[in-house]
Amino acid sequence: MKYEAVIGLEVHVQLSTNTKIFCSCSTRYSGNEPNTSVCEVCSGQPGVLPVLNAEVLKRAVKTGLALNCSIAKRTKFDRKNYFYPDLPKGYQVSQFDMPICANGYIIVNDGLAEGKKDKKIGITRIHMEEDAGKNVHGSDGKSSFVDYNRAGVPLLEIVSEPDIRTSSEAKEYLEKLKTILKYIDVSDCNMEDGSLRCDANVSVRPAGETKLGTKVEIKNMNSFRGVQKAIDYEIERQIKVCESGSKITQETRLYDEAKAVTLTMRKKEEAFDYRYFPEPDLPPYDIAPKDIDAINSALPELPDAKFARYINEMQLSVYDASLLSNNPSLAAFFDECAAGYKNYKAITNWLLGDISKKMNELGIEDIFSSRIRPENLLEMLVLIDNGTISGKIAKTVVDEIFASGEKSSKIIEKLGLVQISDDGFILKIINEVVAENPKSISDYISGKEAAVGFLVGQIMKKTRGKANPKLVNEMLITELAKLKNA
Amino acid sequence: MISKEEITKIAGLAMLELSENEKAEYSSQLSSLLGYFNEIQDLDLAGVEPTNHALVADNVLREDTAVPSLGQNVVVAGAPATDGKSYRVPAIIETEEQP
Amino acid sequence: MSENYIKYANYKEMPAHFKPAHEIRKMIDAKEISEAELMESAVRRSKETNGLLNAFLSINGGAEGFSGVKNSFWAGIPVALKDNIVTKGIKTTAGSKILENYTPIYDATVVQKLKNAGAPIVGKTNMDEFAMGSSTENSAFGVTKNPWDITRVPGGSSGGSAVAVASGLAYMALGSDTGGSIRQPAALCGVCGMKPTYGRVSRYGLIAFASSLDQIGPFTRDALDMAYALDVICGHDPKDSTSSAAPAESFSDFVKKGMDMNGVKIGIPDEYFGDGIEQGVAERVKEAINQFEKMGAKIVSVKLPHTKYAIPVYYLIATAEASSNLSRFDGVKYGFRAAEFKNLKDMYMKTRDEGFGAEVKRRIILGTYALSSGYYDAYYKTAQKARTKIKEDFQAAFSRADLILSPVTPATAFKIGEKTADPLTMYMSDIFTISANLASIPALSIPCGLSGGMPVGLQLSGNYFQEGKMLAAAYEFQKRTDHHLCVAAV
Ligand SMILES: [Zn+2]
Repeated sequence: MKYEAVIGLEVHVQLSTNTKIFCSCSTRYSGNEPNTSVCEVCSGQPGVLPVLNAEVLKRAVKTGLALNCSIAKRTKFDRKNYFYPDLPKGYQVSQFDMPICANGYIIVNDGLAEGKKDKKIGITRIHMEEDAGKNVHGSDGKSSFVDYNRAGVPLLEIVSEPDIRTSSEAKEYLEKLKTILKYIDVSDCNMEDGSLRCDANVSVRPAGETKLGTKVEIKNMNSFRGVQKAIDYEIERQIKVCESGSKITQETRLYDEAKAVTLTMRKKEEAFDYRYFPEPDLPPYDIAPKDIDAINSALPELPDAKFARYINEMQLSVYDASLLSNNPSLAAFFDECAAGYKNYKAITNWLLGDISKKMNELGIEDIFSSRIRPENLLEMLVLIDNGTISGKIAKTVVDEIFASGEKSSKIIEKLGLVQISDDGFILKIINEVVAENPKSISDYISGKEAAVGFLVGQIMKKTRGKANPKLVNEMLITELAKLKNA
Repeated sequence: MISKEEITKIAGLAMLELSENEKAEYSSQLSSLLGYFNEIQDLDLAGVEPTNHALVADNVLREDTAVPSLGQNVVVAGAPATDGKSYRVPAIIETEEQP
Repeated sequence: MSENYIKYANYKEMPAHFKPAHEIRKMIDAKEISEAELMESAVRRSKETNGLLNAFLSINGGAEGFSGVKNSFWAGIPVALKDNIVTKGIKTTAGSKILENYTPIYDATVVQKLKNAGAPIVGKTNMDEFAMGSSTENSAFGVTKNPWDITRVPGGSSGGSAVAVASGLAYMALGSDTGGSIRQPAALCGVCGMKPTYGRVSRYGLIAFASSLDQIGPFTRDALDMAYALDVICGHDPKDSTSSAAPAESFSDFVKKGMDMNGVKIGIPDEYFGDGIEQGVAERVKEAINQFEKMGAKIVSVKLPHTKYAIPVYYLIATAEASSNLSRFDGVKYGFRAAEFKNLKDMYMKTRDEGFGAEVKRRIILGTYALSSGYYDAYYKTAQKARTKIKEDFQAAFSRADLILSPVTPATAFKIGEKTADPLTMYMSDIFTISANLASIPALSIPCGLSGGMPVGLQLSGNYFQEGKMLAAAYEFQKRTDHHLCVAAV
């Protein structure tokens, strides 16, 4: 029998606000000692009260708009009650029945590969909540240690519809989500450092069946690749269980990255009953249409719109447009260059070619954290166009920009990279090379055209690559023709 | 009538280890209290909005500006068990289902 | 047997420790008494009487509090705080073993305000554990005695604060009122007590019992002191999202101006004068009604038809909120942790079992039950809807009356131990006070005479933010009567 998987993702993203959701402690504690970014509020002292960070509400609305959600006119917080050492108050302030955003979607597969169709993955809801602290396990195995630096960091929980069918679709959903959130600058979205976390609900059913199978929740995945592998493993496991005639147990499973398997968590005797109820310490929030409009009109161009513009208005290839639009900083860099230079293809080639390669070498993710700036690239492109440097020399210029951040013209001057287009000088070199390579000349005369390439190479070598290659080619052919006809 | 078993389950949610005597006592007291409290079921409350919040103004917000935190030595000092930097608790078993 | 009380003809006759703060203020300003003498006397008297009354859980060393603050009514006038109001560096227990050794790392907003006003703190007063109780018998640190008769309870949960003012140990004491926890002990101890409008006073730093019902308020000798007390503690607090931004007038100025009672409509709720009220209490309250009528007030009848649901609604909502509010006491961050346990869960369960007293556990169980899956709609949500009906009752009543007058309690102070066996009997004694908390309205209690030698309280309630009017009416009453001049012979 053929089986189909049904997958829904629950993503938690930390909002990169200055302060925590309900107190004024800084969220920039990374690398600090435990329990240093804490106050009476986020450490759950008796008598404290929460006050909502305005920026959290704003970013939640922004996220909802970017993910095509409807924004609640009125929203409130609720308490989710459970005991765990990383939860200072014994309840988490979250949202239950009046989430800030609902009914959105993300489009995946938009042209990443030819022949694939766009697919809408629904977003059920987005809600605001506070992050918990961190439990660190003691080396003796008897104790754990609790750090509340993370307690109270604002989170958005983004819950997808069970619209995802494969692990690669799940990965594409996550990548697209991350891209959008980075575009709107609400979160760092880094799965490795925990600013983006993902749990997956996975079930399988016979292909064609419309009823949902029993769902299993998978936790503890630490990378997009991990999510993909965990889902693949889980689908295979569930199909095996079904094929053996057994039933899937509804449960939570942990992904073991080292072994690439999912394992049953030991179940607690009693079911969790979170006893949600409206948080009496926080009044409800009304979101005015004019505030939504203001946030909406301040939204940047999002990846889908960018992709369409690159193809329709700038005639980029689907492949290039997709690579660019899925990389917020590269796209921003491109847009800045494109504002002052019309050969979009040339910009794209440099950005996705040598520059991306260089960034990979240096381990740079965000082009704006490197030394290259749009004006450096623009100047270089103009210098290529007017023949001051060759495309080949330009690669050296790129290397130097990454190293020093200097202007292209200054680099060319400093390293003496100006292209030689002086006929007399080039002719002198041609004559030298002709004189030094009689074998190649005779080869050429006897019809071996390949000799031309060798000779050009020798000329470029003598000029340390600075001779204008077009001119060298033309003049060499003329000279060789003279020799042949002589 | 709230059974002792139900009291045990509720006590588990509330993280209270009750003695058998306490369970028996609470089971009978809560049964009679809830018997009396059930009066509210007689009210016709169709279409009535619940008072989720007492007299409050909506939209109370705070600026996103950081203020210095209290710091490790202040916050952790009052804890029953610490290593001087973090709160110490009995080992948390990771493979156990977490809330 | 000598009388258990003394009735003074006026404030002049009273010894300094019984005088109202507004008289003491004049004496300080006239240099008839010094701030140091006042504090020394308050601390000494508190220490001397604590063996008998157990009003305080901790008493200040005595040397602190002379801030040099000028132009402040409360500068140098000793005050006491209920022990669920956190004080930085001063042990705060909320009457519970689970916070036996808890020293707060911050000040409640009201404490900050009192410090800014230069009021020295005599000590932290005894209370029912986490404010759950009506007698102060639920304190983990012993019962507080009623100074009028030490075999009787002072009421609760703010019993220690009521006793501190009644016994002349502090000129003003703060309490907290979730269902009558200020007004009921004020009535039973013969002092004034007020629960302001919800949101009038910041709850930041009040160890929460039921967040949507809790409100901090003062105990004082008379209504003018009450106005001065409210002046200093009220106001919007950016740290409390539920604190009101409503402008606060100067209550003391308003009260001092005097109020013409002619035509002021005082509503009498029929539902509050049924069976079950002690005869002496009913008589004193009727006399007070007559007094107001004599002063020109118009007595009107009002209806509060959902009164009989108030107790179930209150206990379902209050315990549900409490079950969540008290989750933070888990032996991890502060306070008590059980000595022996097998694992994390065992540590939680034993810590909370050993750290909480019987009434607190009973209420946590009840509240957890009311919120638990399958019961939420029937109990918690239904109670929240019924709460709306109770609020509407009051809005209708305030369309007919400026103030509502009623007894505070059905009876005077009961004997220690008399009601501990049956929680429902104890809960029933809150019948006249809990509605104000459910409706978020302000209400105060002032003495209106004695029944069987024990004080009786009169409750005046107003609509939202009508504290000024209530206090002025109460002060007009006190100008013409002498019930507040009658004090326990301590
Ligand atoms: Zn904080």
